[in-house]
Amino acid sequence: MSLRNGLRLALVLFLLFPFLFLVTQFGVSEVPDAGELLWAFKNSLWQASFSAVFSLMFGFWAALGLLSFQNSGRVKWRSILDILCLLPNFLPPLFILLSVLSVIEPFPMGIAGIVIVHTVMNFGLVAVLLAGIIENKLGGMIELAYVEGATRWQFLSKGLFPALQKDLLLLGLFIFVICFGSFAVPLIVGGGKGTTIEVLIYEKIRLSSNWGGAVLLALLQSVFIFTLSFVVSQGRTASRAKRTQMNLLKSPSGVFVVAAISFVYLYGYFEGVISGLAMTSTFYELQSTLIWNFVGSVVLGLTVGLLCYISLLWIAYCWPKQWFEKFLSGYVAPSTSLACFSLLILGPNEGFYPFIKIPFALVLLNLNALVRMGWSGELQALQSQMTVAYAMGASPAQIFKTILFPQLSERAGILAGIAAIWACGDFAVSRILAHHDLSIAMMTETLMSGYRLNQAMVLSTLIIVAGILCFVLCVGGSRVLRRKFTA
Amino acid sequence: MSYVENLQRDYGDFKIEIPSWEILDQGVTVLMGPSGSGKTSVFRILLGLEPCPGMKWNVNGTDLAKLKTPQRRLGVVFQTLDLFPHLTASENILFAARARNVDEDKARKRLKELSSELHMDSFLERSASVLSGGEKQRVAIARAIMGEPRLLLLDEPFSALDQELRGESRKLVKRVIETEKIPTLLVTHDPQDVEVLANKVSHIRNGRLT
Amino acid sequence: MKHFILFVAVIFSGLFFAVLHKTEQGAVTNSLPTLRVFGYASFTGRWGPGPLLKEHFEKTCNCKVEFIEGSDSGILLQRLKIEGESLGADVLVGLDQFDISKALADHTWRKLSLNNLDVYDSVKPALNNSFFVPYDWGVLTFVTRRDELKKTPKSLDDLLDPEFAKKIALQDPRTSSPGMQFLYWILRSKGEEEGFAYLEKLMAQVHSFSPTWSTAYGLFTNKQAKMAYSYVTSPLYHEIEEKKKDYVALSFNEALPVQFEFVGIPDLCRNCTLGEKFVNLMLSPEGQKIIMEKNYMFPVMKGVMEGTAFAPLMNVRTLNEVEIMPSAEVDRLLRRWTEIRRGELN
Repeated sequence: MSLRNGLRLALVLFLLFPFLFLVTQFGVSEVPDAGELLWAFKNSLWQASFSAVFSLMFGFWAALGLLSFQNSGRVKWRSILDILCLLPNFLPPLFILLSVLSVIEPFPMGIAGIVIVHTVMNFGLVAVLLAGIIENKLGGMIELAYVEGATRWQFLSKGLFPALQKDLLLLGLFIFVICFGSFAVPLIVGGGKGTTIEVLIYEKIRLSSNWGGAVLLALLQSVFIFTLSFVVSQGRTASRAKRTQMNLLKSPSGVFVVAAISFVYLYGYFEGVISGLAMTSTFYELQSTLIWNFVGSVVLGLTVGLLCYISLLWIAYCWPKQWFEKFLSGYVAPSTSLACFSLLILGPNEGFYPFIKIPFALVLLNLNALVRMGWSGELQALQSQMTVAYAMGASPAQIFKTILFPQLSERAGILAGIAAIWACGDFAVSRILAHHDLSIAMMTETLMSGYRLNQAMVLSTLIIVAGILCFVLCVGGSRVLRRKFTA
Repeated sequence: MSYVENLQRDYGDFKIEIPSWEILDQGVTVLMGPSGSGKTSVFRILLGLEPCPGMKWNVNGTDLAKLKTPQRRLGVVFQTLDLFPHLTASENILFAARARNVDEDKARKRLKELSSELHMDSFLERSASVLSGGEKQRVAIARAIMGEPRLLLLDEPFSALDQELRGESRKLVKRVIETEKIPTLLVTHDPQDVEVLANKVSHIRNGRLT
Repeated sequence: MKHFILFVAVIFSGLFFAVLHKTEQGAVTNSLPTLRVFGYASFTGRWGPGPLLKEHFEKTCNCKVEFIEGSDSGILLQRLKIEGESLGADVLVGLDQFDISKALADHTWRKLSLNNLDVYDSVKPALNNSFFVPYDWGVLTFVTRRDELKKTPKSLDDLLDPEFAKKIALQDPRTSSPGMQFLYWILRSKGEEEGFAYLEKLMAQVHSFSPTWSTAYGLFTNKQAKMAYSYVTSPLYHEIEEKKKDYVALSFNEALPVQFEFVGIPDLCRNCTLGEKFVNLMLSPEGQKIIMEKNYMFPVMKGVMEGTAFAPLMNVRTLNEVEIMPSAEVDRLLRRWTEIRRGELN
C-alpha cells in the first residue's frame, strides 16, 4: 500500500472510529421500533429541510450585503459583518434562543420555531460561505453582465442561479446536515414534533442504556445523509477567478438583513449581559480561576485549530481519489454523545487524557463540517493544477509542497480558526470527557445550571474573546507557515 | 514512429474506438475533429489520466500504456494552461525540471535557453497570475518542454489567444518544436493549426479515426 | 524555519502543560490519599457546595479531595458503568429517587451504616434503603413573578386556564429530573389514566419542554414564560443573591412532590473509609449548612435550617412517601409521555 493510500485509509478509520468501536463493543442486535423511528425521522427531515431553505434564502440575501464591502477601505466593515454573521454559530444555543424568544413575541413553537432559530443560527454561515463562492466563481461573469447592461434579476435568474446551482445545493445540504443532527433546539422549541433522531439516540443511551439501539440509529442517520450527499454531489464544478467588481450584485439591503438578524440574537444577549454586569463582583474572588480557564479555552481552541489544520492538509495530500472524495462528501459525524462515550470507554480518563480526548473528539465531530464548508471545493478548484503537475511527473510530496500547500495554507487556517472558535464555545463534549471545568464555556454552563444565567452571559463574552483570539492565531499562523515554507 | 493499439473506452453514451494509430516520432501529429468528437478523451487516455485497459502504446520499444502517468515522461499543455498562479513564470518552468529530477544547474541553463527562444526574459520573474494570455501560453509550453519529455502533448493550446496572437504563437511553437526536436501530438479543431504545424493529420469523429 | 517551529512548539506546549499542571495540582503531586467525589457540575463547581465541603474535609482528613464532574445523574451512572474501577470514584453524589433503581441494578454499592439520623419527618421515607442516603431535598412547584399573573393557579386544573396558555416553562422528563418529577406529580395526583389525559390538555398551555432545568428556568427568568417548574426555594436565591423579592413559589391544593438527592459509595471505591467520612461530613451540621446555602435546597438533618429564611418554606404539603420506581416502570411512563407529545398539534 502506498503512503497516500495508507493515509486515506487512516483518515477514514479515524472518522468511522466511534461507529466501528461501538459496534464491536455493543453489537447491533435489536431492530428499532419502526413507528418511533419513522416519526423521529419525519421530524428531523421536516425541520432540517425548512431550516436549510430559509438559511439559504436569508444567507443569500445577506451575502449580497457582504459583497458591498469589497474595496480595500471597507474591508474592516466586511470583517465586522463576517464576525456578526458567524457569532450565533458558536455562542451557546440557549443564549441565541433566549434572545430570539425575547424579540419575536409571541414565538411560534413547533416546526416554525425550530426553523426560525436554526435560520438565525445558520444564515450568517451561509452568507459568509456564499459571498466567498460568488467572489471566487462568478467575478468575471458579473462584470460582463454589468457591462452588457443586464438587470440584477436577469443576472440572478439566468446567470447566478444556474451557475451556482450545485454550490447552493451543497450549501443547503451542509445546513441540512447540521440541522438534522441538532439536539437542544428541537427539544426546546420543537413542541410536539420535537423528537428528532438525535433526541432518540440520547434517549436510548440515557434512559435505557440501549447502546446497540443508539449505534444503530446513528448508523441509519449516517447512511441516509451519505446517500443524500451522494445524489447531490454528482458532477459538481469549481473554478477560481480574481476579485472583481460586484456592482451588479451588491445590495445594501443585505447589510440590513445581517443587521436585523444580528439584532434578533444580540438584543436579548446584551440585555442579559448588562443585567449580569451588576453581579460581576462574584467574579473578583475567582480571578485566578477565570484566568486559568481562559487559558484553558485558548489552549483547547488552539489545539483543535492545529489538529484541524493538519487534518485538512492531510486530506489535501490524499486528494484526489474518487472513493475518498465520495466518502468525505457523504460522511456525517456521529452524534456527540456517541462519539464522546466511545472515547470514554477507550483507555483511561485521568490526568492528561482529557486534554487529548477532548480535542480528538472535537476534531472528529467538526472536521466533516469544515470539509463541507468549502474545503472540498478548494481542492476541486486546484484539481487541474494537480493533474498538470502529476502529468509532469511530480511526486505527491512535490505537488503538496509546491502547489497545494502555498495555495491552501491560508484557507486551511481560516477553517481551522472556525473550528477553534467552535472548540472555545464547546461544553457538551468537554462536560462528558473532562473531570472539571477546564474552559470558560464549561464555567458558563456551570453558572447556568445554578440560577446564574445573567452572570453566565457576562462570562460568555470571554468565550467570544477567546474564540476571536484563537481564530486570529490560526489564520496568522497559517500565513506565517505558508511564508516560511515557501520562502 | 509510435504505435497506439486498442484505444477503446466506453463512456455509456459515447465510445472511443481506435484499433490502431500511428503517431510520428518527429514533427507534429495533429488529431483534428469537431467539438464532442472525443479528442480530449483520447488526449487524457494517452496521458494516463483515464484508464484504458487493453491499450498498447509502443514508443521505441517501451509500452507506455503499462506505465503510470508520471513514468510516461510526457510534456503537456492543456487548453486552460493551468499555470500555478502563486509561482513566478520561472518557478513554474523550473517546477517541471524538479518534478523530473533534472539537475538544478542544468535546469537553470535550460531555462535561459528557453527564455530567449520563447521571448520570456521580460516577464520571467513575474507572478503567473498577472501574466497576459500570450505570456501564459509561452510559459506553459516552456514548462512542458523543461521536463525533457519523450513526447509533447498539446490540447488546443492556442484557443485562449486572440487571432493576431494565435498566428504569432503558432510560428513560435513550430520553431521551438523544430529546434528542440520533440515529437508532438496536437489536438485541435482549428484548420489554421493544421496548416501551420501539421506533419501528419488524423481526423476523429464520433470517437473513431476517419 | 526550524527555529520558528521550535518557538511556536515551545510556547504552545508551555501553555498546554501549564494548564495541565494547574488542573492536576495537588492531586498528583501530593502523596496524600485522594478522595474522588463524582458529581454533577453545579454541585462540584465553584458556585456549588463542593469546594467548601472539600475545604472543610481536607482540614481533618489528612487527604486530598478531587471532584470528577459529569453533566447529570444519567451521565454519571453511564460513566460509572462504562469506566468502572478506572473512574476511581469513591463517592457519588446527585442521584435522585428515579435513578436509584437503575443505580442498584447496574452497580454494587457499599452499605452505609447510618444509625439514628435526626432527620425531618418528610425525609424519613427516603431512608428506607441501606445503600444511599439523602443529603438534601427540595419541594417542586411552579415559580412565578409577583403580580405578573392576573389569576394565581391553586390547583393543577387551574393551569389549564386560557390565561396561562403558552406561558408555562417545563422540562422534558426524558432528559431532566425535575421534568420527571413533574410527570410523577401529575400521575400521583390524578392517577395514571386521568393524569395522562390531563397532560394531553396541558400540552397547549406549555411554553416549552426544555432539556434541562437551567434552560427552562432561564426562559422564565428572561420573561419568555410566566412560570417555570422549579423548587419552592428558588425565590430565595433571587432574594439573597440578587436582592429581588418579586419571585414567588406557588402553593397547590395537590400535595407537592419531593426530590431527594442521594449520596452513595460504589463498591469499587479505593478510599472507602474516607468516602464514608465524607458522607458523614455531608450530613454534619456544617456540611448541611453549606449544602443548604449553596444548593438552595433543604437540609435533611434537623437543627440547621431553623431560624433561617429556608425554614418557613418547608411548610408545604408534600407527597408523603418516596417511591423508588423500577427503571422499567420509569421507561414505560416516559414512553406514554412521548406518545402524548407525538399527538400534540403545533
